[in-house]
Amino acid sequence: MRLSLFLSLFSLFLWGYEIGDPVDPQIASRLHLQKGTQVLLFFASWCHSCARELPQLKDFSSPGVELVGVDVDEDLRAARRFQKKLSLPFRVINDPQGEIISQFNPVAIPAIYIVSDGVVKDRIIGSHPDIRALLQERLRRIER
Amino acid sequence: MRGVLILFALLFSGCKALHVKPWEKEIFAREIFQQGACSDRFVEAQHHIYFSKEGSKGGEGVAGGGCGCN
Repeated sequence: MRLSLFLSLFSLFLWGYEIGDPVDPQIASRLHLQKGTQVLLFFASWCHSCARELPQLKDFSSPGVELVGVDVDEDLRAARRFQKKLSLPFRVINDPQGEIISQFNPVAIPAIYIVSDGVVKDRIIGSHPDIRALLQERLRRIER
Repeated sequence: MRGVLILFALLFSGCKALHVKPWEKEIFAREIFQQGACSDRFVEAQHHIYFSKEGSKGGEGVAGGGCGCN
């Protein structure tokens, strides 16, 4: 009885991926994660910070790193319109049901997760004025 | 005792359902949900209260010395 009460209280806080956690194989296959490093960008059309941050990452490149966008818009038409407007050069996966993002469970969007060989290596939550430099720095730190 | 515990568990599970995740805030992000979106008078009143309470001169106009009488 005590244990069930303890578990029910803690189920209020369902934790997402922490640094060092492996990505669920089903989610990894939905994201088409390959070997190497992928940067997952979670965004939505209604998120003003995302609209400010994404253009900075349009021409981001780092050797051996692939950018993958995850659009969490429930409205697929709005999602496609937003992606077309920004003409994002990287592949974007739509997640209207929130199945992918709920596994990661960030406390805010935009959220960036750096995944290397299927393991979460780092994350950047929220908007940052110079996201390119910050992302580059985090990737360098992982390489070391 | 058991009944009380079950009641508390049910109440807590109710709180869980109210929690909106960051990616579920599409509707809340709409302009209509912004404070004072429906009425300019509301925004005016908010500013009046803010400037009166703070006794400050902000970037949105000139306020008095904190008495709220202007």
